[in-house]
Amino acid sequence: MSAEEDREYVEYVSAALDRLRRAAFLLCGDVDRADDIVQSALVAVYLNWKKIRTVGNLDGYVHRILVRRYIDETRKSWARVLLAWRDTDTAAQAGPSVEDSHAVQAALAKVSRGQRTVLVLRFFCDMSVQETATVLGLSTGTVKSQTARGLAAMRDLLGEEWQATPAGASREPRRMR
Amino acid sequence: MTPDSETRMRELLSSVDIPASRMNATDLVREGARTRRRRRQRLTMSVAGVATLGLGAAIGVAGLPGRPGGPAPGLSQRAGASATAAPVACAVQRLALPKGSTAGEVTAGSPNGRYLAGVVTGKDNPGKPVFWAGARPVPIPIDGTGEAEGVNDSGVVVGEGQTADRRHYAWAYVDGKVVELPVPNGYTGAEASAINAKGQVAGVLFAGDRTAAVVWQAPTATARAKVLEAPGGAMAFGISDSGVVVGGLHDGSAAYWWDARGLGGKLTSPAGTVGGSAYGVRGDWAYGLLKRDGKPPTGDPTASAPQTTDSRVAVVWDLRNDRAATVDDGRVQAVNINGQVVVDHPHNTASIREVDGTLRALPGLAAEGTTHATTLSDDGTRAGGGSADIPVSWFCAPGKGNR
Repeated sequence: MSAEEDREYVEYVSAALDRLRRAAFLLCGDVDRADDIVQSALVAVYLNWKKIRTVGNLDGYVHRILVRRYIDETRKSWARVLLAWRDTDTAAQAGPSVEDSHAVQAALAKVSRGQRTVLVLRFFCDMSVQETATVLGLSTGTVKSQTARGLAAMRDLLGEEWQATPAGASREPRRMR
Repeated sequence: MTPDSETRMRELLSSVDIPASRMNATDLVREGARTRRRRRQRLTMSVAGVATLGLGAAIGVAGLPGRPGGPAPGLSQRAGASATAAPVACAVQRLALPKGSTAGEVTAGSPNGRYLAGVVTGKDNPGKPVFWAGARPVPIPIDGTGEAEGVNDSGVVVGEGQTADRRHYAWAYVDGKVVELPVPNGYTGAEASAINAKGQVAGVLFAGDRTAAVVWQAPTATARAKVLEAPGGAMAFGISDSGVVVGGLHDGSAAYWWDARGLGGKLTSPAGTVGGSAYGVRGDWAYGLLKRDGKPPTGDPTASAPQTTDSRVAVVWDLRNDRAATVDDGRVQAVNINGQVVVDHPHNTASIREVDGTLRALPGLAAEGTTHATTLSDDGTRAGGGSADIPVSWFCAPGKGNR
């Protein structure tokens, strides 16, 4: 890889790293595993950077790689995933900030893995129903029903937190579907 | 679900914080360069492996013996896993991608093994259906994005599409032309899941958050669409040549099937499973995924091999007697007329499982990367799927079917 390509890669990663780590953390609920998944995905991006750097929707592309890594990894270690999400201490240590954040993590820990994955992909990674279905190997009908059930479950689990408007949360949704 | 719920979900997910990490871009560049060196070394080894496999398949022997014992030192765990799987009797072949596509996967195959269909992606292409009759890929010119879901022995392909204005529709590809299958009154969208030898197409209708299982009687724009009754709505994913349809209830609470007259019922749920769905049917066999009941699996203390720790369990049904058998080492992705299945294992490898339980490994294109199988011909000699994001087909020595 040329020095110029290396520089571009570093620039991209510096800008995208925080968001990718958050996505991985929301998916798996464990900081260390999130970092492992992100590192594995970004190394894959590095190896194909020559091709990938010209892709139209680079963020979407990298998110898809990230999700693949997450799925591949959870296939191998589903037991550990369960443990990570059920261990409330892990969740409690993880978020440094607002109550809102803790409640959301706790609620995410309680919905099914499938629902959690679909919610994160659609509403954090901004993937369409179609993209989510393709990445997860599900039908679009399943993605839709998982979305509907996941949203309903989160609303029930969060109760008043769901109703409350968080400070500074008035920005427009990035893309509506 | 309302747009308000979606907006709120976006806000809440954005509110979750994650502690700082020591990971930085420079370290990633270093790790990337290191991985590239390791990969070059491994590539040299796997090229040698493919040559051996080709020889084994060409002379028609039952298979080369599997490597006994654990992974060889120095190989990654993934490479070790594929090396220790069952005797090799199948050869992998890369399928050509249409011009401009960089990745793809076979998602459907005809029972006679002549036709494959799938999805390809590329720069600015999040997904387009494609058809293979032989090695040459034929792009299926649907409106918008989508993928193939089924193909029959006549080479008629069906699938789902989404237009730029996000309308979901079911399509069929017949004699080089795309037709949109009709959506009955009261529904806003559709997708097609499977097609049988008679040309009947099973699929799903949408109306907001509701779904219904449907059978179109022919792959045409004027076909009669028959809605299959089920409590709370359902989705249909497979149809046999005799018109038996399988799928699942909309709320995920049960795998479901309908006979050729449209009378429906739940499929047997083996002990320890709840809910789930059936994903395909061929002859008297159906397969699907059910959820494990309650607690995380503890595994069978008498089993020597480690049990899968997935939250869902693959099931194969014998529809003649509604008997269900669970498959413990991966997900069943297709079944043929003789009850042979293809299985995706947890370590990103795939196999054909004979009726007696014997596995025949489906080798990937490289040690690195995920291999999925999605189709299996009735004679058990042709399978399709994807390896390292490239569509592939496998040709195998005939195996043992007919239980």
